[in-house]
Amino acid sequence: MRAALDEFRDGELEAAERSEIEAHLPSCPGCREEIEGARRAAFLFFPPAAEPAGFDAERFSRLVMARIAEEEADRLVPSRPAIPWRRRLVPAMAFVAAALALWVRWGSSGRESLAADILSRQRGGAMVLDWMEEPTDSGVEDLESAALAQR
Amino acid sequence: MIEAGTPGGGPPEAELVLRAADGDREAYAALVRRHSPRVYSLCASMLRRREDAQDAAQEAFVKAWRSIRHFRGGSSFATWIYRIAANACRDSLRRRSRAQAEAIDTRRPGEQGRSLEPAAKTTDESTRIEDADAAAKILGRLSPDHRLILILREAQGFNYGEIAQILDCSVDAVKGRLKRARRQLNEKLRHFSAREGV
Repeated sequence: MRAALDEFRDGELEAAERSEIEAHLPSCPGCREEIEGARRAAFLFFPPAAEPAGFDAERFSRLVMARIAEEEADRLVPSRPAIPWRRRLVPAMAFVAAALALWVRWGSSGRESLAADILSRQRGGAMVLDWMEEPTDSGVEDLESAALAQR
Repeated sequence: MIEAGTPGGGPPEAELVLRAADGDREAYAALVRRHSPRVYSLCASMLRRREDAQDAAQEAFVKAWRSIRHFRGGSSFATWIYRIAANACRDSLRRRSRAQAEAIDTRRPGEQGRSLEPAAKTTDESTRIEDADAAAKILGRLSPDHRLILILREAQGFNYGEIAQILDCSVDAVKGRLKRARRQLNEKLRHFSAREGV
């Protein structure tokens, strides 16, 4: 019964449930006190007030409409002129064609010189490796004679 | 409870909404005049600062104008604008709590631990406190969601179905939240009374 008291006070119960509580209340001081306490609290925290003090609906409405007008004016001013996509397509295609032509033209000569560069680097590297892995006999002899001389 | 008719005369609400959706600013201005007192009242109860309440209420009406073309009329305009206003209040509270957190972070070491709230009143002062101030203080200690649902029910007088539309939840969820909010309010009231000796 107590669980439904809030809904009873809020006028949210069906007619049958409402009648049941109304019949119960005269014989139950606890439920009556609970309903009265809730009513007092609601009055303390939410006193009835028709209009909020100091609020001018006319002025408020003008402020809102001015803000809306301002926002819409901002939206209507384009940041830069819009260019139709067809007019953008022509320079875009010209740029792609130029880039392709450059790549093809530079590519043939560029690839050849790149290959030559790689080959020469590989050869130089191989020479260095050869020298490191296979020291010459004369080099060893020089080291041996220098050691004997020191003794 | 939600007024869909013509309070104080003027064209019916549905007509104003249709005209506003077609871009009629005069019609929208009429809707703003009609609903702004209660929307402002909701924002003021939630935010408890006049300027913040004005900003949130304005924000709500400007946002509603931006999307009124998509308003399908599944709910009343009042329910719809209340939902937008409730979200504007939540955003405002979030911004405020972020700003307070930043203020705490940037305080000098000697100031650490001092509350951002005004200094607590002495017992003598608290006995002289007006009921309205005490009520506002206690309400301010509730969580925003609990405060919102209590304001919608007790101050604005919406029924459970309307609150469910505003909060975008089921009627059962409204019942549960309202019960918890009332319990929390009673606890805060008891705690406040015991502390202040009221």
